[in-house]
Formats: sequence, structure tokens, C-alpha cells
Amino acid sequence: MNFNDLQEAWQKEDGGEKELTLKISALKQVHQPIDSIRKNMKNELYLQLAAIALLAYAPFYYGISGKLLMAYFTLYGLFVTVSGYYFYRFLLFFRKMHNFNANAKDSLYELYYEIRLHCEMYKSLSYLLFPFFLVIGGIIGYHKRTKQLPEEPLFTGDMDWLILSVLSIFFTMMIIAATNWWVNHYYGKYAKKIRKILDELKE
Amino acid sequence: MVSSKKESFFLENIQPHKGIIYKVSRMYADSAEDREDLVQEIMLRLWSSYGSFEGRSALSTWMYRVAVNTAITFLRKEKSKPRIIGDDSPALLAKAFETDNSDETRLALFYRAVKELNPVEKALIFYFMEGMSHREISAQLGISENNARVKLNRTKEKLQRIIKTYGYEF
Repeated sequence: MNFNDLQEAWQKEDGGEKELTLKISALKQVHQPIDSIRKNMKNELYLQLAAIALLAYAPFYYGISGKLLMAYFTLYGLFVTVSGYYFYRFLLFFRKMHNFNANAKDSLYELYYEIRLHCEMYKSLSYLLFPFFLVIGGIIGYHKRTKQLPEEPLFTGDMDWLILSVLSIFFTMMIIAATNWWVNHYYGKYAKKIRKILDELKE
Repeated sequence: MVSSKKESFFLENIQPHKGIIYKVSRMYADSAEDREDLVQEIMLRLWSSYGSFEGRSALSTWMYRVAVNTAITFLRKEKSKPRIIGDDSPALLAKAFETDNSDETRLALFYRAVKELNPVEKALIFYFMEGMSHREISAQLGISENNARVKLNRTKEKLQRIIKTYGYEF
């Protein structure tokens, strides 16, 4: 057996009698990295919308009023604005059709950079929203504490500030680690896979 | 099943080149189920890109690109069970080849060996088998002609080594 024999046999192969069909139902299946990312994005969008709705309801649930309520909704407004901007960017990514017409290298590079850009956008959204969550959570916590123990006000001693700082650093580091894990696990693995293929194309 | 005029026209046009789709699927997907999924995936990508095909190259050239680009990044179904050795195990093929020296058995052996190649090597061998020159392969993959030549030679040697490990002279 040699390559000439194989090529000869190969040329005779024409795909058989079976006719090609187009099953639109197959569109729902996930067989490309970009489809898998879109599916994850869709699921996360529902969670983010639920979080926005819950945060709007939270001050009424906890009975926050007065200046604290004003501060809460000022932050909430900023939170929704930032989220809205990123949702728009994600929507553009979601709608973008990947180019399968280019040569393999260009097609893979385009896909790789799209995924990397998405990963970085995802991380920046997470880092940007975290301080909002922290302060919103702080407002709710402060309100609950002053309501439960009005005779023991918060942030009067150095120790309170120290605890607050340590907790902020701890939660920030946790969020950074969790975001990186999440992005790598659900999105970054595809970028890695494509990078590996691109490396195989190098001289 | 799709039945509008445009879709019928599309299917009519690509039907003569269906071998491209089936061969790419056979090279890139291991199980019959994955092969069927990959055929449909390529069909959908061809259909969604059909509007942007301007006819500046042959339809088959465009089909090669879309089919190989789709196959390279194709995600297989998650397998919960270990892969069961089927009709294409080297041992069974060796036995079959002793008595049956047909093109079909020869190609079955070839496809079995191709499974051990990486996605880029599969693309190189596919284009080589389709009779493309180094220049054409380099254009399809977006690499230099020299790189295509070197990589193809290495891949052919690798394929020969794999087939020899199955106990065949190559």
C-alpha cells in the first residue's frame, strides 16, 4: 500500500447514495466553541436580570428609607447603567456571525481574538460590578445593624475600620479568583484549544 | 427539512460536491453519531455563509474552507462511557486486510490512522488526498507554501509510521 493507491481509492469515494439535507433543528445543537459561549451567555443573562430585579426590591424588603434609600438607588442606577453598557457589548458579540469562509489561519485567529475579547470583557464587568455589590451590601448591612442594635453604632472605633478593610480585601481577592476560574472554565478553555491549533500552523 | 426555493437551489448546487462533506466528517469525527452531527454542522455553516459566497472561486474551493474550518473547531458530544473498540480497531482491520485488499478496506485503515493525527495534520492530509498542490494547500490553510510542504511531508511520514504500527507495509 502507498499514497498513490490511497489517493486512487479516495478519488472514487463520493459520499455514497445518501442525499444531503439541511436540518434547521440542528441549529439548536452546540457543536462550536462560539455556540457554547453563546449558550452560557444566555443562561448568565437570565441570572443577571434576576439579580437586577432583586436588587431593586431589596431596600423595600429590608425597610430602608430616607437618605440611605437615596444613596442606595443612586448606586443602583449606576449599577444598572454599567450593566446595560456591558449587556449591549455582549449582545453585539452574541449576534456576530463567525467567518468560516476565510482560510483556516485567519478564521482561527478571528475566533481566538473574539473569545479572548469576550473573556476580558467578562472579567472587567465582574471587577466593575463588585464594588457596587460591596457598597450595596454594606448599606443593607448597616441598615440592619442600626435597626437591630441602635445603641451600638458602627464605625466608631479603629477596630471597625480595620475589620471592614480586611473583609473588603478578602472579598475582592475571592471575587478575582472566582471570576478567573469561571472565565477560564467556561470560556477560556476554548481560547486555549484554538491557540494550540494555531501554534500547530506556525512555521 | 427545508423546502424553500433558495434552499433547494443551495442543496442542488452543493450535492455534486457532497464527497467533500462526508470525507471531512469521516476524518474529524470518530463515532457515527458525531459524523452525522458534523455533516449537519457543516451544512448549516455552508448555508449561513452561502449569501457571502461571491463566486470568485470555485464552489468546491469555498466548500473546502467552510467544511475544514467547521471541522477543526467541532465540539464532540460529551462521552460518559469509555470509547468502545468497534469495527475500525487496528486488530480487526489487520485481519480483514489479509483476505480483503479492496479500496474500502484500504480506506478504512487510512481513516483509522488519520484519527491519531491532530486537526491541522488532518487538514493537510485531506487537501493532499484531494489532489491539491502545495500552493493550494498553503492558500487554504493561510500558511506559506514552504511551511505547507514541510508540514505535509512530516504528516505523511507520521501517517506511514502509524499504519506500520498496525502491521502493514507502507
